[in-house]
Amino acid sequence: MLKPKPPITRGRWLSIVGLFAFSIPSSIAPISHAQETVSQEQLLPQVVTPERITGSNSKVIPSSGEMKSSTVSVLKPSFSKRDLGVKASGFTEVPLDRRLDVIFQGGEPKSAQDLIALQQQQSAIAEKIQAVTVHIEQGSAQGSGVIITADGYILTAAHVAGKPNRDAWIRLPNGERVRGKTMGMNRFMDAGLVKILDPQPKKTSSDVVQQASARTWPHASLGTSSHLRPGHWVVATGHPGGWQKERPSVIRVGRILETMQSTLVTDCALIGGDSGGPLFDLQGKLVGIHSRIGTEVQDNMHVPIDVFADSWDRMAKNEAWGTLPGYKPMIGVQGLQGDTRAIVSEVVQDSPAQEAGVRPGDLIRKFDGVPIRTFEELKSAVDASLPGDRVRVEIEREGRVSELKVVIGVQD
Amino acid sequence: MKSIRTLAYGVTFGAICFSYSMESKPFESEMRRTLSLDTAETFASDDRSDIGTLIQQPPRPSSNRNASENPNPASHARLHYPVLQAFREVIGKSWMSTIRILGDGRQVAMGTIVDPEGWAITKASELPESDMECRIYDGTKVSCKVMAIRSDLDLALLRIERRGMRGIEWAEDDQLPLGAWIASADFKETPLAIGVVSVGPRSIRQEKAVLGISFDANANQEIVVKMVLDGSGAQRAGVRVDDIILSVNGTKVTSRQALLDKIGSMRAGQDIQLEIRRQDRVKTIKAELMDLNNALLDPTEMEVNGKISARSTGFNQVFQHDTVLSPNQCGGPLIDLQGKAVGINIARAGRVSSYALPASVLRPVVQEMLSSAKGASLATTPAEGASVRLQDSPTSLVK
Repeated sequence: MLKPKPPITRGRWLSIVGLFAFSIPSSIAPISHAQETVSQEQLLPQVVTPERITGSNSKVIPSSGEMKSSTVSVLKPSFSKRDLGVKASGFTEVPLDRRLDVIFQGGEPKSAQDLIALQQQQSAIAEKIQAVTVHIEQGSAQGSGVIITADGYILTAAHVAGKPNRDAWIRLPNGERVRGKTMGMNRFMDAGLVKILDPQPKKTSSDVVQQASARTWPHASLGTSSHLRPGHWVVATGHPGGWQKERPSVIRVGRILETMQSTLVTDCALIGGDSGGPLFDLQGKLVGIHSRIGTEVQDNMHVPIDVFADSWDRMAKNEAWGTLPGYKPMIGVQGLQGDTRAIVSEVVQDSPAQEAGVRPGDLIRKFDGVPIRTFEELKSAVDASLPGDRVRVEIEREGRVSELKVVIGVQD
Repeated sequence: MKSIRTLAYGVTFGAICFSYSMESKPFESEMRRTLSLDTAETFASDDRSDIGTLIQQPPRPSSNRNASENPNPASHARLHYPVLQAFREVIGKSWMSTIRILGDGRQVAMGTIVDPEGWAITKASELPESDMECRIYDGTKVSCKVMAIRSDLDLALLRIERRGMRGIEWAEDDQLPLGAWIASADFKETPLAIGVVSVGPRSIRQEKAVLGISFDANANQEIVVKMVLDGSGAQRAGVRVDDIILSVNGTKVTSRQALLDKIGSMRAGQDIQLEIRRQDRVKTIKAELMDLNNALLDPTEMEVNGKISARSTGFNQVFQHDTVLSPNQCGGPLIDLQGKAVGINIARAGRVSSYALPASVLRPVVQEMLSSAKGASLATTPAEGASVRLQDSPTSLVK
């Protein structure tokens, strides 16, 4: 099992939700459902069953119909972790210009000739990567993503995907909007997975369901991040500021400034909406996914592609684990000493729990729709939520059951 | 069982996602050490204190450092000095056609020489009303004057008191592929900054220009300021709650609607002159209008975006690139790898975006402005020059 890596403590999240929605209570905040897996401690992979899929909440997306259980089959991962690392197929790979051998290794252009060669390489990549870059809407969150398989797996940031088994809208480069589903995510690394569901079968006049024609998606060629070194040239794209009709995904070129096991830092400038967007090397191979930024324009952080390979098996099984770096959810209650039940002994001043009206002595019965029996279970349920989520909490006070709405906070 | 705690801290939601302590800024100290005289000028000009009295510094920290402010960033950065130097060959002699425009001794914009007889174009909304001069390629300061303005393009034509300059060479073909390199020229051989084409030519919808106040009429039908938005032009100019607005640009305002109409007829980046009464004292304040979107950014967004041009929307055709610029570095030429100018920088629009007017748009417009202005300046005494204000249509030239 993947061991939790030390959290990255700097950076700001780049989805639109990170910049706007958390400060504005959203009326379409996801409503939870019991099917969600996830806790930091959880090690057993969850098995995807039709019930899990149909049980997911389709109200998140306006005007979407019920997800049919027939869509379940496409959620089965079609390739394994090993494939993710080495698969050479893909649409975006561009043969490396021989003149760029040194620059590809992180060298610097020294003449106009070098620059011309570099430009040709960049431009060839730029057009190809736009074709595999998508915009993702999940509830009130918006971000970017990149298609990596012909059957429509999309890599994105965990904080864009939000939670597993949620409906999402995928905006393709041509503006078409198709339905998707969030899958597993490694929140420690901010790595998330989304799957395009095939277009819904169309109903004919006789109401006979016809099979939608199989569709293959242009997808990115996958690289590895282990070989990346400071100085390597990279090309980034995404949808800064969200989807804009008249504007394709926005191209940026920069270099790797720092490499860590859990993070790549580049000077490809990113901003809200870019989250989940792709970072490519000079051969047009996917090497990272945009995650967060610092104040300085050189502080742009990406999830290395190898993290996705390592987390693939669990993510493909709809597992979600960990908490976003520096982003641990909390509600601000303390359990009763010597009692395993979820009885609140103390409510922290100005905490989300206090603002929601939780009082000492309350017994927490349900959290986000999930029955809570022990304080340990409550803790797991809080860990599985996301800061900013509005969550229904059922409490029992003096024999009377009532429901409160708690807005999840973040632990420093 | 031990007590399990889920801790809380009194963080407000707006702050939550951003409550990280940023690690030390690696380039800052280095940057301070390496400031040259030129760059010190640029740096100081970032205060923009030419706009009214600063009650409080505008909440826009000096992020988005760029080439001239940071000539030696981390050795692996795109802006590493040797990379910039590779562009010298590309810049060719374009740097001799690039000027820095100073207002009150501080850099307000860059400019592009378009005619050997001392004519240059620049970003109009960054220019001061008077006391303008520019620094040219040989390092000398010369005076300059606005001769014509095309407010739809935010373009100003300047007359520089120097002849025998080198006019910029426009590219015949400004259709660059995505990812193509472009260098922003400086008035020296090494470019100011470099970047790539991010988005091809498109139109940027005009945002509403706002002053950054809310107001209402009181019982005496006077306009009272109810709220002043942080970071807005009004706040920077020192407008306060309960101020009574008597007139705008010399015209008395008698109703809420009149003031709205007045502001509505102006563009972001323009100055608005307010006569206000505060506790029985009447004073005149000049405030800059800004794009609504920029005015509504919260402090965190402002911080990560760095400084944005007051006028960063309302362009019929611009292309977007990822060069890191500050607002006072707009107006200069953008050079492609063929060594030709493919446009000029016209706005800094955010952390990831700068906008440029393409050469194909500029060439005919500049020709028109030049012939009109040259005609006008011949018609008056040469020493005086004639300030011709072209409005949206070049045909509305008044001599």
